[in-house]
Amino acid sequence: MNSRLNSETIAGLLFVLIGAAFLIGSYGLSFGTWRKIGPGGFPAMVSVALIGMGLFVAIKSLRTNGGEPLSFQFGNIAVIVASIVVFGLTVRGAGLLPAVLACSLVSALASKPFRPLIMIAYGLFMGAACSLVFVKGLGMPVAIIGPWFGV
Amino acid sequence: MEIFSALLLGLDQAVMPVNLLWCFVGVLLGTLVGVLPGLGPAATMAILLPFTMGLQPVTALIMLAGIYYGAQYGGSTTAILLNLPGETSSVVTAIDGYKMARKGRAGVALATAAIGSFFAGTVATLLLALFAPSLAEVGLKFGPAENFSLMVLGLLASVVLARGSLPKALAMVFVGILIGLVGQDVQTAEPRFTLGLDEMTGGINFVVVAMGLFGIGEVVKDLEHAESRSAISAPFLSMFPSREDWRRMVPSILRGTGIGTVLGLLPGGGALLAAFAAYAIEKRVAKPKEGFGNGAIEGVAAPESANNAGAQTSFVPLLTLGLPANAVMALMFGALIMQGIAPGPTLISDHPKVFWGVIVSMWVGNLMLLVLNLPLIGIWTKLLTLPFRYLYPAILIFCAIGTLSLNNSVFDLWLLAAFSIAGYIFVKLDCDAAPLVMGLLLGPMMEENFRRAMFLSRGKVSIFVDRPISAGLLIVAVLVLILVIMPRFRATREEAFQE
Repeated sequence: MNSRLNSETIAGLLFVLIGAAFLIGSYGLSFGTWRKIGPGGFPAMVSVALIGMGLFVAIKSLRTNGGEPLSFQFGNIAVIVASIVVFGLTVRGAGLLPAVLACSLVSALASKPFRPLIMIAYGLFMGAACSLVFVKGLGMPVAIIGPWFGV
Repeated sequence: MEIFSALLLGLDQAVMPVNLLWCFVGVLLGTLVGVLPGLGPAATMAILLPFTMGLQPVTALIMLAGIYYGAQYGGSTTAILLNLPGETSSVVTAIDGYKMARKGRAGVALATAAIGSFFAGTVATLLLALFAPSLAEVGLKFGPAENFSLMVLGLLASVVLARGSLPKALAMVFVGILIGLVGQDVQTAEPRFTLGLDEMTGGINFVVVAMGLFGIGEVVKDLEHAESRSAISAPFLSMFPSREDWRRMVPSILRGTGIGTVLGLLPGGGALLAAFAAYAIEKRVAKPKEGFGNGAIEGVAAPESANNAGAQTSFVPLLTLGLPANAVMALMFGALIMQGIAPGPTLISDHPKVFWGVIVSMWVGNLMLLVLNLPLIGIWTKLLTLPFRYLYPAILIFCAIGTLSLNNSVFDLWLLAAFSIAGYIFVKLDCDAAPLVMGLLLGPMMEENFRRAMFLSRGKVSIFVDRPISAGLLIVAVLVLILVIMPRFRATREEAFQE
């Protein structure tokens, strides 16, 4: 990796990017006048401040060569995000219990060693416990076993 | 004796069985997350917030507050027994506390921490009750200009105390403000930054952001450092401090309480700062023969008193001015709004039961902790041996169910996934997420107050310096900023966070 591309520089550029995105977004809105500021006025000001701060961070990092080179481990975050997505995809159709089971199974992929049988038992237990507490106890409007299973 | 009738009203609320029960649940959960390293009070509160929505406002707040100060107790327990500070605010406790434990004085160290915390909590609660109403009266005089300046000061102060570089923390505040502005504009009802999605017109729920950044972000961070924890608890013989111990701890507890009370009040303050400052001061006043840093009882008594006092008094700016002092208070702020209560100077007069109930419950909760904590130490240390691989799927499931229960919308889960990724990137880029959450919650209010102030002044920006209180607040904000930029302070700040 390029020695200049340290975490500080990337952070600065990321801030510039976020600021620019919001600035572009606020251009579609009315800025209004100083007396009657429109919906776009305040966000545009904050966006400009963010871009400025991002540039400051990025330029400072180039000068001092500070910050550490990055090491991303995409595996874990991908698994964790996947487990949330799987939960979201299944909870309406399959119901809470299967969704919890699926979520814990997928999330377990991030831990070594992966023990499928233990995690199935764990997921079933968690699913049953959550169904009992949240659906039966707190009245959450979600089916425990959903329409996919013909219930 | 208005104060006594007010405290009685609070006591009335605090000892209601349902409130006692949830206070107990709160402190127990708080202690649990305090014991477990990795999951902090902010993350826990974010995860549990959706589930408190069905409770009465006062009950919900009592429980959430319990999580916060319970975590301080739990964090110090593992700091002393295992040299594993469960919370950042108990990092300094581990220095002398663990040394005491190694010398077979773990029981005394734990008792000292508990006594100090309880004393500090009592004093802080009383001070809170005494001074909060008058501070709220000051707050009542605030107009939009003052409110805006107050939020500027609050955000700046919280940035100063954030970990890592200052410009990055400021940038994170701006990011937070912008995310907070997503959704319908309050004045014109125009949708902003919604990417054309109907689900976004209501704005992005702060709980989802906080859960993604704190809760799941921490899980992923911990997965990378999943070390095997061995619980070799130090032996403890006696719980009771000797006469000599008492002589040495009492001045430290008093000093710690004083420092914690004051630092908790400051915008940006709280338990963490209080503990570090108290430890630094004890280090100064300690005589060489007391063996400071080598298992001195002062090194446990002072920071433990200070962090509890600070945790307690950091509620003052929130409940009187509507200004959250740190990320945990920002979550309380959000909880109040979700319960339909406007945090601000009118809270005491509009919702006296909530205000006094929460205050008195903190004292009750501290008492519970004092009684509960010591017998449960064995269980807590056992819990530490629970492998992380059984813990984190449960955290994820709670996050997912909690998010779903907010608006019963699956779309919020996609947002949660997105903010989890963002949280991971921020961790990797060494950007503290706390300032973002502060900005997120204060952003919409800042905008509203800014627009109203500008309208009242007929478009003159000078309104913010023409009004004396507003000008004063902005001067303090500038002073804070100058202080940080000055090299000397910067050095101390870095030193303080490194220790």
